[in-house]
Amino acid sequence: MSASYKAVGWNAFKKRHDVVLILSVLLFLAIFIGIGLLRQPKLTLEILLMRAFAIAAITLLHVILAIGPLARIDRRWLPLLYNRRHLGVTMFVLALAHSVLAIITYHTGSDLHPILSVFVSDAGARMTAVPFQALGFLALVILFIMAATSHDFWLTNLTAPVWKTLHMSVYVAYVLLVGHVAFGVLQSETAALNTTLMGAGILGLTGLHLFAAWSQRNIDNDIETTADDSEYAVVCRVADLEENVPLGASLHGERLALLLYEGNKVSCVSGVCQHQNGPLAEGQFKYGCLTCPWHGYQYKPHDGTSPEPFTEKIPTFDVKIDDQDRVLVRKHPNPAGTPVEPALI
Amino acid sequence: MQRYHRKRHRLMWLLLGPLALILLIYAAVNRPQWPTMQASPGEAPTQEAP
Repeated sequence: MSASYKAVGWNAFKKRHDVVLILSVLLFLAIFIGIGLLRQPKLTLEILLMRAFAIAAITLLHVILAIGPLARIDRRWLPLLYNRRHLGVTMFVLALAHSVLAIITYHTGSDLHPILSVFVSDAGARMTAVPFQALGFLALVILFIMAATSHDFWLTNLTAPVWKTLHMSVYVAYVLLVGHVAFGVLQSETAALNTTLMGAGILGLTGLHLFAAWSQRNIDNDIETTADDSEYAVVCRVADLEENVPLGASLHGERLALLLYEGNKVSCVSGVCQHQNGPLAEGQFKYGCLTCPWHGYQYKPHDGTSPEPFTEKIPTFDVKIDDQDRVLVRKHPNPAGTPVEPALI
Repeated sequence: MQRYHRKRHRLMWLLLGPLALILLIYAAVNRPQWPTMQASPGEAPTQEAP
């Protein structure tokens, strides 16, 4: 959390995760190149490496983009979300290796600067009018910016909303890369399997994201506010609350996390983790704190502050329970870290 | 307070998915026709003439 910055806050899980990741990538590269040398001995090692790096990178990008919705559909995917940034940096390194090899192979040896050559030439084998290499280069620039700002230092200094918006540019990079592949290699490698696999990747990702949104529409849709009390909105009934299990809701576009704890106390805080905008209402109540499912940031339910020595804090909401056992939440949040007396049932 | 960003994700995928798919299909349909090899005069053709 925020007490200090380290290059990487290693723990046993992260180490295991990264070892498996690196071994998987190396195994894939070795198998791809081995099969390539056997099946197409005329291809040079540079070309095989270039293709192996590219396929590893685009496959990893699909995995990265699938982790978010998978974790929303099934919590067992959450450990992968915890380390998603390491996957992102690995993906950038693979894409960079592909690009460097392509530039050395196709864009050196002329009077043009190699980077300029990417934008103005097609290496003598014009496949299409679409400048697919420029699309790939622009995607690489976006991936570089994301990899360079992936550390918590940038997250804190840019603030979570700005950082999250910046990192949503991965979607722009994804479309650029689809264009790079579709107007590049798929113009010469015409086997139906290649196009089918790429299409399945696009459809799979789109379907996963839309299904995850549909499956959690109850949390995402705004609560219909009642007119009987203009300051407060009815969020749920007491019977809807399960002890020590956060309940998510959305009020005027703001996410809430309600919690019944210590037998009869009900508190409400913002459902948005200060770290990366993670969904606090989907986390657990551990050691007296709401715990973000993404990276384990914790907040006390009555005042929205993190336990010592950490300094994060989130807004709180006034809560009351009416005589019909309905839980009412004040529509306007208190400033982050404001203590609020829990409502008693 | 931070705005709710899941709706942005959903909207993005509603736009991006079809856009990416259209790009892929357009590129596949508009592949250039590569020149096919012609037989020399007097030689038996080794490929079907276009």
